[in-house]
Amino acid sequence: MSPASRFASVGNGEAVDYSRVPVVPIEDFRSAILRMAAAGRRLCALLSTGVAGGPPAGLLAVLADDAGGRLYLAASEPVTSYKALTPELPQAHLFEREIFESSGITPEGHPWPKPVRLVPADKVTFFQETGEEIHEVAVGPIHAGIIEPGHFRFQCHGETVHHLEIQLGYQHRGVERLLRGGPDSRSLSIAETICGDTAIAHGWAYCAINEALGGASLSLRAEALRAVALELERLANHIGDLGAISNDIGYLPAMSYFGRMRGDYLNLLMLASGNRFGKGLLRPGGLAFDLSEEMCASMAGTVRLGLKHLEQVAGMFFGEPSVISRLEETGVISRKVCDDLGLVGVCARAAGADRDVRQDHPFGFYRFRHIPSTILDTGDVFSRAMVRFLEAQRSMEFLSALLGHLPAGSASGPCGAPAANHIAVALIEGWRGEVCHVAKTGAGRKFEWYKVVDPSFHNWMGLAMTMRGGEISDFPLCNKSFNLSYCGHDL
Amino acid sequence: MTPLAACVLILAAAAVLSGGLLRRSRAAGLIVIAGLAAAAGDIVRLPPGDIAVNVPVWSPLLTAIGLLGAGVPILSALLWAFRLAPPARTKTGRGLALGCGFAASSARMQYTGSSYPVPVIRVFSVLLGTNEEFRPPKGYWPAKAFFGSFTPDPALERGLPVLVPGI
Amino acid sequence: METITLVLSYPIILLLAPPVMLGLITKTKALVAGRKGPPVLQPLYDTIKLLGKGAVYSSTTTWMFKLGPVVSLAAVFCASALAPLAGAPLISFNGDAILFAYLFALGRFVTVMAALDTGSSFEGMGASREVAFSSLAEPALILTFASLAYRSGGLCLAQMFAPHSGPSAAAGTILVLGTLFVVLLAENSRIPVDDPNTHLELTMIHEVMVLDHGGPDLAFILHGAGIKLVLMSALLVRLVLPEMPPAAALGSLLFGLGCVAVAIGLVESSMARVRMVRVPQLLVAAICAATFGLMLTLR
Repeated sequence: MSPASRFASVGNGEAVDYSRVPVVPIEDFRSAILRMAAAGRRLCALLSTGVAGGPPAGLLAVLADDAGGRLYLAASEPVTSYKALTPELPQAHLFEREIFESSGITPEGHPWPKPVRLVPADKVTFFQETGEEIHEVAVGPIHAGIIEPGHFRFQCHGETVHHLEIQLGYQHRGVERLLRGGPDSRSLSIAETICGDTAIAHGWAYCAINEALGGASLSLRAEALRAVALELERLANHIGDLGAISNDIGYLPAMSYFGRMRGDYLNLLMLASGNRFGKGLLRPGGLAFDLSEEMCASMAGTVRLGLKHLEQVAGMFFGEPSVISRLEETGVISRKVCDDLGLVGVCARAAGADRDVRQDHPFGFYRFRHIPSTILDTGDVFSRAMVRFLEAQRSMEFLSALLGHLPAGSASGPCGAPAANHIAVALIEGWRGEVCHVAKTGAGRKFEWYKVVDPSFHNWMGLAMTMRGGEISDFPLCNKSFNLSYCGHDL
Repeated sequence: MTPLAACVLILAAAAVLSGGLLRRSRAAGLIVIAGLAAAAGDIVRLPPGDIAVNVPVWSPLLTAIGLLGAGVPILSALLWAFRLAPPARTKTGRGLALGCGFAASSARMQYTGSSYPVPVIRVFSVLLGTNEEFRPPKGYWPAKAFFGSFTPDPALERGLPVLVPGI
Repeated sequence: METITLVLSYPIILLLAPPVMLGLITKTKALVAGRKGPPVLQPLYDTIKLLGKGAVYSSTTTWMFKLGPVVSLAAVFCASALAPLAGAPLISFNGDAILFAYLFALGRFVTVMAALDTGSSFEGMGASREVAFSSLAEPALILTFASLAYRSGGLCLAQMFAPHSGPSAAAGTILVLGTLFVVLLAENSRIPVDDPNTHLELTMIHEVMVLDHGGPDLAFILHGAGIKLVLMSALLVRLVLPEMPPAAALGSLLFGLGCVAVAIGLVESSMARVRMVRVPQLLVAAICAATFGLMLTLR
């Protein structure tokens, strides 16, 4: 039997009857996943379908074939323990720790079986390097700036970092538990607040799940407007990140100018939806608000002017020699580490991995109009900043072309109730990377379980690996260049 | 009016004004300190450059150096006294070290004696010849790692054996 | 009249000039970045506010922690008696340049001791960086003093920093000015060596050493840092200003301090911070410039 026959194949944003997903013994499940990964497929999600203390449940895996544009689903029979995938497939590491914590299924042989989110305060252990001359630096969870809580434990000698371990979980809100039993009147709001600055991407993924399960189809105008909103979110965050990077290296003019420009795009989202982060704009079936002709024209004008300003300020920023010397060869991630750990999004594209959901698994309006993906290969802070600038530039070109020629039609439509006993997968390219939502409905047409994988879930380990052998004074800059979400990881 | 009296008057006025305006005895006290330093300067002002070293009974040079040397402890004592007497509604307390938001510090977090000179050692590494034993963490989830370093004494261990062979 | 000017000049320079200089630097940086920026006297308001606050001391610290800010401020006050500000300094004798440099070093020593007293890795990191960079800035300073001393005939600050005329001194003076400016940026934690506005402790040098100080201790430290900046800038200014009567000397000194503040603000706005491993290279470049200046003077 070919490995693919142990999987059900589905497209991005599609639903399939759960009985079509093959349930195989755990050893077959494990070996099939390893063979698929060796063939170049990527692990999008690995979860257990049960809860701690409940009946024993099995595992479910979602793998993505970026070249072929298909997603593969497989399930395993109920188990209490199994041989861990992590030693042979490092990108499964955090998923297996999460499975252990949430459902009690033990991955035997996992090299670092620490809880992911619910770490008891008195039983915290970190990797410790032996030697009298090593000191530990503990940063957080309270930080000097007003950012989210997270703990970083460095093993250092002087200025050199030998090892970094990141512990999160301070913002666990139980989002997946809250979404179970939906969709109800709160579910869309909960989905949008999974990660506040990625409200559009997470909201779109939630709506795509509901539309797949309910069999709704969107008008072209609704797809186009959703793409506009997603690109505006991407612009605001990429430009804000460039400003934050300038702040961290002490290049103050660029910090002020990028910061002001970020506000322009948040204001465009506010014009469209009444909320600077676009919360409340998307709903299953379409959008809550439409854009009038005048609004489209003024938005297009702002974007065109913004493109000129962005190119000027970025020219000043990337042309300054002290900036280049500070950013280049800092926080390097190699292509091998990127592929091993399954990094996604800007960090992966800056390291040479050609991963962009808009191109590999096109969804919404991106099926009709492509945005070329930006790949650089040095994997350092400079390339991550440059990828952000180039993606912002391409988003602006996409927006100014689209806003002038929005398809006619209505911006919203009906969306039926979810079908029973179906499973749906949605992948959206948020500004950090790939957002993945997987949901299964039960016999009562409500969500039996709902899995959210934020891009930060894949990428935090990448940050830990860049710091090995690096300078501790480069850590804030590396952290800012990754700009990962703490609450998206913690759910 | 002598210059000394003039400056004492000016400074008393400034102290009263600032004490009244700011309602802070400490700010006034600091102005008085600066004024005393200036007034003292008026007494010991010496012509620059041409100090004779053949010393009569009273030496201006040594007086100057002595006053300057005493200045640091005297000023420190005055500043400490003013810091010890806070205005009524403030309080001094004991807490944990700030440590960037991590409260439960351990002995491992104190900067080690080997870490402290690392920036200087890097600059002079050619001259120092520090030996390091480093087993770096390997793989994504290392089991162990070790670091130790040793800098040989330039005179006893590197200089002397070269100069006097056989030691 | 002359004495009154001299007497008045010291409170102005020691109490008002530090916050105004820091405020001018911040204002220049804000204007270049297109913002309005805080008022120029903001550091003075901050210092006065801090003097009225209480303090929380870490339970790992001892009397050494409390001694640090006090002795460092006292040391810079005494160093100000040696510096030629508006006219001749209060105390002057042959060799006072060395005492001047080492009063600053005394202040640095007690601040480092106070930092290490907390037992936290952040302060230790800041202390390690501060002493490393100061140990590299010190040869540059001493070499500069050496070339000025050779030219003026004695190691006395008042004579060394008295204005000289003549084209033969110009090249040497330019090198001395450049070196002193780099040493000033390094010793006072300005960009390109350190970012004074950063909130990232892992990248700070001086600011993270004083992380645990609060209230009056922090006021002493901030004011002491301001006085250090004023004294080093005053030396720079005195090197270029011609001989003047005392009132004009005070006015021109204050004007010169303002120009140095604007220059520092412009330098800070025009470049990013240098990577921490490259700061020693910058300071060694300053040492080379000072050596070259000394060789030009000796020729």
